[in-house]
Amino acid sequence: MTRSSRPGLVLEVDRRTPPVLFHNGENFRLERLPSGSRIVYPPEPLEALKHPEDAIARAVDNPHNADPLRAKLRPGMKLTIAIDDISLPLPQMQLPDARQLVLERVLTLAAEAGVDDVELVVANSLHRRMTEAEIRRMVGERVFRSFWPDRLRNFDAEDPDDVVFVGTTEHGEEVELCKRAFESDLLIYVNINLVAMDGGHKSVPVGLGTYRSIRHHHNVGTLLESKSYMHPERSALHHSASRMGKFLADKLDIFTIETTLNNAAFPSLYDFLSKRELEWSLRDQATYLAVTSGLKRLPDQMRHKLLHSIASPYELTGVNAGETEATHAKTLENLHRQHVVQVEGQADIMTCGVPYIGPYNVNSIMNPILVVCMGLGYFFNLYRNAPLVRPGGVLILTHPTPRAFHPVHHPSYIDFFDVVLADSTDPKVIEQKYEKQFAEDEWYRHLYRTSYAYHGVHPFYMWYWAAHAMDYLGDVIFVGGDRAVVSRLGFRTATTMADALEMASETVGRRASITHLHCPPLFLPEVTP
Amino acid sequence: MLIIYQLVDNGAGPELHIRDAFAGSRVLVTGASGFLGTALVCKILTSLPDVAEILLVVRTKPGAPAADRVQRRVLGSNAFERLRESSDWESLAAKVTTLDGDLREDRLGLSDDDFARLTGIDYVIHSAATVAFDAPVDEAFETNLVGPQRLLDTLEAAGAHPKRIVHVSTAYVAGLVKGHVPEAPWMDTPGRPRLDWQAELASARTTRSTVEADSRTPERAKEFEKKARSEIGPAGAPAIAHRSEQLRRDFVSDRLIEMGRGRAQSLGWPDAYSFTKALAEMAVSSYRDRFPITILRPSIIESALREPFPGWVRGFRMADPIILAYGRGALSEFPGIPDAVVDVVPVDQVVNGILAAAAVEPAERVIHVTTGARTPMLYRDLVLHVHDYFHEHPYLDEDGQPILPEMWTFPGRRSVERKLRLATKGLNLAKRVLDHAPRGKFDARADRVDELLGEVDQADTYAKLYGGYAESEAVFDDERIRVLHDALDETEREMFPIAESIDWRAYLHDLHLPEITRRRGTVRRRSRPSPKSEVKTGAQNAIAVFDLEGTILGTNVVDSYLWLRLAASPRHEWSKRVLDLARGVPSMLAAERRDRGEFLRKFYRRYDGAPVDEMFELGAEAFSELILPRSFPAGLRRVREHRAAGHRVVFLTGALDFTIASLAPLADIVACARLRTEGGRYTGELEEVPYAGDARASYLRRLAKELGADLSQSYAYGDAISDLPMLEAVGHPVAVNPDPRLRRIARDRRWPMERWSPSEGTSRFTTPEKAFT
Repeated sequence: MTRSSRPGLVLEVDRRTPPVLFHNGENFRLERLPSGSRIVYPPEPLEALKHPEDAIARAVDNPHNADPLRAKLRPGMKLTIAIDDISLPLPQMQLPDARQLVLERVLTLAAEAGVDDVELVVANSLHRRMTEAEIRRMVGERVFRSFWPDRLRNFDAEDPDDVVFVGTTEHGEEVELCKRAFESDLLIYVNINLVAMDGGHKSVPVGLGTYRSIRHHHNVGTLLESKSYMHPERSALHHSASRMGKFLADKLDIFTIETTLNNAAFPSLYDFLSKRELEWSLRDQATYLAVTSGLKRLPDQMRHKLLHSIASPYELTGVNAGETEATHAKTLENLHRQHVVQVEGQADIMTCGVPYIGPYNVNSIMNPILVVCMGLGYFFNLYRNAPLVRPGGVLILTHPTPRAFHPVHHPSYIDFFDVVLADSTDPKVIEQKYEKQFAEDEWYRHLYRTSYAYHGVHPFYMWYWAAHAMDYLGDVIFVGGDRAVVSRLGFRTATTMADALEMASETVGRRASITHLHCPPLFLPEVTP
Repeated sequence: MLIIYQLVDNGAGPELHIRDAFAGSRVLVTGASGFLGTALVCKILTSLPDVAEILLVVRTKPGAPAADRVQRRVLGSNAFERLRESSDWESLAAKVTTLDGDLREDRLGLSDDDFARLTGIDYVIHSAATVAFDAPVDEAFETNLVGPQRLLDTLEAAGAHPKRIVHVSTAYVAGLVKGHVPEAPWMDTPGRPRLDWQAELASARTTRSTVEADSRTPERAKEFEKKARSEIGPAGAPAIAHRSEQLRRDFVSDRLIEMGRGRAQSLGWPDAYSFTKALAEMAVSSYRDRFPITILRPSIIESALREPFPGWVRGFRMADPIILAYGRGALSEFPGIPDAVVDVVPVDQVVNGILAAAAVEPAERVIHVTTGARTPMLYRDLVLHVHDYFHEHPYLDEDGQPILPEMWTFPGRRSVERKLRLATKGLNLAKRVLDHAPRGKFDARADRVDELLGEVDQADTYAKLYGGYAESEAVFDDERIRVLHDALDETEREMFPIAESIDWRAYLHDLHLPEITRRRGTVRRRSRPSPKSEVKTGAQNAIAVFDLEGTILGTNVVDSYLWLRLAASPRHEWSKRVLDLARGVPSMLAAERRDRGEFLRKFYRRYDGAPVDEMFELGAEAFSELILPRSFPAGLRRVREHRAAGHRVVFLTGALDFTIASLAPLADIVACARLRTEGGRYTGELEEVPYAGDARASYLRRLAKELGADLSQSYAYGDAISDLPMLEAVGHPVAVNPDPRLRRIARDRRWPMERWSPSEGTSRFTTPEKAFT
């Protein structure tokens, strides 16, 4: 398949420009932006690898800065394969999942080499356990049948029997890891790299780490110094994770396999989501109308189910393997090829729609705290060099922010919203006053370990992700948000985009410049201030 | 005007000198702690300083000795405010002697010393009576009829020779008559049936035992039990027994009231009060050969015109509850004849009338102290004045909006009663329907229906109690009080006004209505928000006991069963399973309504043959797929708050152990149902009595004893009427999403109520994700 892939685009709005698409939770809206506003569109999907299985085989046979995988495998050895959980990619990809392809190759090699002691661990860290069905989908039927449930499992960061304290980095960061992984002769990490934040040294110490470890970089101080998370060299978070990663690499043989995907995030039915509005065909316009009015009329449950069943036609654009840093450098190169869009200058106002899905609500509910994390944590930080919006500028997001929580997946979020945010929205205050209590709560621990709950501390991290934006921005306005909920979150609500722009003028004046981040599909603006 | 009895020309004329008559005298007063009695004692001390001694026969009540009651109710009353500030208060108060006595006992139950003090009595004023129109018939007879006889017998036994005995009766002894009522013994009125008061008394005295016996017949017992069961059935046997007994007592007292009213009405009196007072006049008259007795008949006594101070009133008098209910907008119509005279007399006029009647020589036989003939107030005017007053000074509702009651239209008694009957019928129907409506959604409506039922019930009670008076077309002659008025000299006319004209609008607007509405405030509805529950830290040894299903979990035993059943069945059999279950629903619902334990026992038989291990495994899955999604986050948080506060958390549930095992870490103690097993399979029989109804309360008490916990400091959370005994057992009960029956009780007792719900975005029921394929 060949496809001409156009690079990203910065479009200046004039009279001819049609209204622009905003994601709006479990629906979409079109908004007309003032003339002179800029819309940043993602590049179109890159051409995919023609034979992904072959590419994988080549990558593990010719690793960067490491011996071929085949050479590392021997009978009698203890092998652990860690896999990214389903917070990646978003939406979930059409089958076969990239992880399945990699696993099948790696397991074939291991079998050929006579390795018996193989264990597959989902590196879910403080995320919720994946359900049986989710794991089955991710690893494929063959792998699942061979290994589930004894040799294929979720990592339990609160299981004292499966956690080992490794030591302390020169910066005093404690490193605690999945015991099985640390005690293995070889740890293979199978990654899907969707954005520049992921992968590299962040995979093992975070994915297989515990609260004791993770708190050293998932905290307000570190995240305020991470500008941005998508720019590892400028991210204190990544510096810390790298120190831990290197510290581990000295003690443990880690073989990293990283895959990159193009940004074909939506199936053809939803083409209008990926296309520029100027280029919408009649069919796109009709689909938009049908989809939005259909979604509006559907009962909550069905709309939710429908959207979460969307699988994206993501395709592999590259596979790299070997030593973590060398591999990740290649991965980032590949990623930037797909993602980077050059943008000149910062705007007074940045607008963006918050979609129905984020890393922490796969098959779940995007609760108000996750909405904040998406908008202020991820989209605001989706830049290299400098943010799309100037310091003291305004971020306008579209999302209905219903007061809905998944009681199984996000129990501590409910209390975070009802109790913690009712007290303060200041990340530093919250961290100091409540984090430990939630992190060590026995009930949350019980739910994390035996049910499908995110760790008790997780909502704090979501809030910390937004700390940089809260610190940097002059105002945050939610268009169409639930007034009570948004007020609890510490932000403001506007009924329409026009009202929001009016409100923003209080902060940035009447002649404000506006940049709209047309996302997802995901991409990475590189902004020269 | 036809005057049947001419005042005897006794030469009293200008020589009626009340102060002279009372100078140096000793006055015995009964009923001093009442409204009229207190005003009387106050007036004597104020205007008759030469009285030597005032003896008050006051009864000792539980916890309140007679002397204390005199200090508090009489001398401590606000009627005495001015007097208490005067310099000679001490010497005045010293004139008051308390005789600890009871008109319901022979010799009044007086001590020998007190008894001896009766000998030298000069005046006796008997104002003690039970003024309640709805007193049980035997009590009305005992106090109103036998009371004065005992007093007179005691005086006779003590060898007393008082100059005058004033027996305070009521103008309404005339009964339901129209036109002028003379100041004469009512028995002399032509056409009155001849009555034997002794026979009436004898019959009334046996009434109670008859009614008590009737209330204990098996038919009645069944009736009470049935009613109690329908109200609180699932709360268990002790609660039902308690409620049945309460219903029986209510029945006895209602019946005794009805018996009195029925007999009275059949003989032409509006109620037992006027009837017994009338009989008392007969009885008292028989002592006239031995004592100089004057019968004084006031009409409806209300606020003072001048003394002790303008507007002074104690408690709510006869018309007041109706007036207040009207002002609150709770009484939209009332029986009554618009052009009938409502005879109201200010209390100070009655007091002065008593003193004048005592002082005048020779004794008058009957004196009316009324206003209807001299300065009549029509019922229509009364209603209009009250209407206008509440429009000028309205009550405010909870929203701060004034309540402006509508003018009554006087449709007549029958029409009002029919309306009330219809309203009661309609509301009761609505209540029954709402009792079965889903919780939460219709709570406000159910509250409103209860509130309206309360209002209608009250209106009905008032109509029964007071309707007769509002329809009285009698006009009471007051010739004699006018003669007495003329007999006073200028000074004493000023000092003891007894026949003043009254501007009723001014009287109501400036004196009476401001006084009775003084403690207004907003009109709070019964449906006002219940108090918020909170966890108090610091209570040592407290337990927090939670019912699970319906209280902190949105699931119930049926959901859980269905989920487990589906999870263990191939998908193509699901519809069959659901149908199986649906077929049993009606009988299960009926059982549930009757008795929670019975329902559980019946339902759990369905687990017969289920493998134990598999049930626990599926239970763990059901936790994440069914139970937790339908749990109430606020409820779970409350559980954890109690633990954080150091309370011991107890889960008390009829649910099965394997369905709630995953919740166990939240609690210190889990008491739940367990099924018997045989060879690794359940038998469908319970291991022990399920924790339902009163089994919960007794479990809780036993547990508290074991743990050394203090139940009065403890908390209980429940959602159903079957949780009532558990909630009653602790000091801090909280009704969570209560069913209509529990809601009614919680509201009446002002228990905190919580509405906890599952997180938004969760569905009512989820089918198992991993089905057996």
